[in-house]
Amino acid sequence: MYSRTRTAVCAGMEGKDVVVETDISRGLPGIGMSGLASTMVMESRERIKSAIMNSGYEFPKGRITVNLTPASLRKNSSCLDLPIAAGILASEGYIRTRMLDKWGMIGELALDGRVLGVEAALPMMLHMADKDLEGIIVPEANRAEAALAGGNIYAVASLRECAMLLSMDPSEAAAKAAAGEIVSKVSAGDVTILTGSHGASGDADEKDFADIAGQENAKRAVMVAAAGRHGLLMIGSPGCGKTMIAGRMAGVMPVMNDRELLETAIVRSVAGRGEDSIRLRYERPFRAPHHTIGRAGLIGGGSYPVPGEITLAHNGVLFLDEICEFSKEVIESLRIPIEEKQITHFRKGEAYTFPCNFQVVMAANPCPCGFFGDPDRECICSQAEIERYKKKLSGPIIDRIDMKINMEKVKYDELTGSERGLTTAEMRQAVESALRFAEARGQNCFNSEIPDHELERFCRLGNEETKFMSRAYDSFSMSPRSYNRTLKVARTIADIDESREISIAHLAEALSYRIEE
Amino acid sequence: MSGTYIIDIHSSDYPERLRNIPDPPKQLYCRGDISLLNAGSVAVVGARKNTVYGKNVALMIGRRLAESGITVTSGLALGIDAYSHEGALEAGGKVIGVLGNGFDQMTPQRNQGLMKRGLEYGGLVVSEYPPDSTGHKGSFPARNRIISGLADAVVVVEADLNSGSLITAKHAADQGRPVYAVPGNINSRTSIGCNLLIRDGAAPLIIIDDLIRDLGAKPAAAETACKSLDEDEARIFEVVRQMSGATMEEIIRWTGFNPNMVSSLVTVMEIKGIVESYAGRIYISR
Repeated sequence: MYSRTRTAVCAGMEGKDVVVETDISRGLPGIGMSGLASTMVMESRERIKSAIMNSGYEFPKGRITVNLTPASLRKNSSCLDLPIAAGILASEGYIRTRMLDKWGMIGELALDGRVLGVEAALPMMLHMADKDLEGIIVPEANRAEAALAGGNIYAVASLRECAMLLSMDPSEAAAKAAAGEIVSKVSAGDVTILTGSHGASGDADEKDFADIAGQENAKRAVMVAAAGRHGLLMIGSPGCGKTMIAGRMAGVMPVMNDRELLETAIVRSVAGRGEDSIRLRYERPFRAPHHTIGRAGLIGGGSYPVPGEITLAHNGVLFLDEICEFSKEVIESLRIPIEEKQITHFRKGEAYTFPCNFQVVMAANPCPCGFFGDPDRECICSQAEIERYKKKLSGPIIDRIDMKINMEKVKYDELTGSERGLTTAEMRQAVESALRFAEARGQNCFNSEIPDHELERFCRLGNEETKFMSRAYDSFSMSPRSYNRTLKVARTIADIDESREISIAHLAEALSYRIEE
Repeated sequence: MSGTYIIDIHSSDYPERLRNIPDPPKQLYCRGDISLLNAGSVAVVGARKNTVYGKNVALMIGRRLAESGITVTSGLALGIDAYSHEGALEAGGKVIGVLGNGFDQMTPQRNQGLMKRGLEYGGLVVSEYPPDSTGHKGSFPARNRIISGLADAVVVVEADLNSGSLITAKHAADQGRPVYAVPGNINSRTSIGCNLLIRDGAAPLIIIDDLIRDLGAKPAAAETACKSLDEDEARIFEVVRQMSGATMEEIIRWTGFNPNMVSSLVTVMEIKGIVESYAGRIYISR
């Protein structure tokens, strides 16, 4: 007997329709599978057989043929266990087949018939909810993600529970859920979203900029960088607080809007970090890959591509510490994703696209040993070594950076007794109001993204300011590129001041963050 | 920028004072204005790996000597040697570079531009090796005797314990040339050589014009142009001066100004040429 169940798989970040056809015919017992199933899917045969029998059903005695359509789509997910098992049960007559077309389902099976959570559940659920499916069945472990996806979703813990739902029309199930007869229905209240607005969650161990004493210049630079999405480079000896600053930067960026929240949730879901907690905490991500990372780890890869660090940092901060130690090839691979804010991998005739719109922060020592210019420690590098090191800080890396600051260790006696400086919340408010101001000016991109031909429109200078910049251009022997960058940074500083005009003071501050070339 | 002159030790062009040193070079290969060989000059030498203090002092000495019409001689090495020439050329003075190899095998390559510029401004390059000679381990210390031999006085700006500049100073003493050393902090590795020279009898160079007067020349009139500073800039200037080099954070702390205000004021002062930044710190220029 023949049956059809509907499900989805995730390719890259997108859910894709999959229909599972099951047919049981006479022949030697066994399950044959077609439709580009990976090893992971093929192994489902063993899980399904045990799960069906341990759920109290009879396993069909004949030859089972499972076909996964579309046949051209490669499938690599344990989430097909549940629809295949449901298809077998329907073919065997345990489930009425006429209901099946209205339901979509995903889930992995354990041998005892439990339904286990799956990776990348959120994009699959969103995709199914978008289709004409009236009801969706997902694993209980993915309940929080289901609450984000919205729609008529039921979270089940076992195959039996699933079969029970499938015996109903989705509208009937919804009515019963409303009457309180079915408890597996997912409601929006099943998840509490903490949006990472600092202080809102009441966590005591939350990192705050107020904890950083005596780095007011660096904090100011972080604020400017966040308000314009300017790439930031910090240079300083080991232990001067570069990592501390970078780690707090995500908190300075504006609270995520609904779109960003969902994108971030999808990325986490795909990365297998969907979290089964009912309190989902959506702070902007902070990723700090070690400099030994390879290309695939950074930008994503694999034969069924998975997101890399740049995608995990989507809508958040990507911190590249010891930037000079990264391999050239790895840095080079960042160029296109940073420009396009997404990365596409091609595998076996298919394109997998991942988003990667992040704030980049880099840190470097001033020289290989780290102590060049340090007042307390002697630098042991030769001049040639320092030159070579500085050369590494050029080319593709420096192209991504608008601002540079030098940092030095804060002395103990300066640490104690100094009053608390700006807090993360204060800094974020300044960033948010700067962004609002930029929008009111009629600009719909971050200042770092202003295209060169629009500079004249958004960063127009008065007479005095133009004269000042031409003096600066000569005294600092700037290049046209660094000139444009300075204009963009100055635009951001003016936005923080809520000033339409860019003043000399704004330009001068922007110049203090310039990068010598 | 004509061709290469070869001046034999018996030639009348061969500088008398060089002929009188122990172990004078048999011949001199020269490019540029050979009349400088007999003009009054001061050798300014020092460490290749200098601090910003050394850089500023070398620039200052080079500039001041040039203003007073005195030629600056150095080894055209990186660091202090290069800065003393930079300073002299900036003030429109004449320079003599003494190489430890042939003209066409200039080491370090980075200073080739400096050598060219020196020649363009009517300077001179000297070597005891033929133009295609690459030099060897001993040739660089050996040229130090020519540096001091051509000069009326030798100034060591920064030197650590086994610096080539100390060899130059030793040659100078042997040749009867006065040696001046620029004092530095006693805990600074780059100044220990200079401080030891002072302990051993070299004249501490405290006021540059003293050196010029000792040579019998007249120091040029001092630059009187006072840079105009407004009140806030003056506060920053004072902090930087007192700390002899301060970070942005220190300026923020000691002036109590906002970070954005300090950043912009410091930049304006940098453009005016009052301060400069180096390795993350702000210093007084000149």
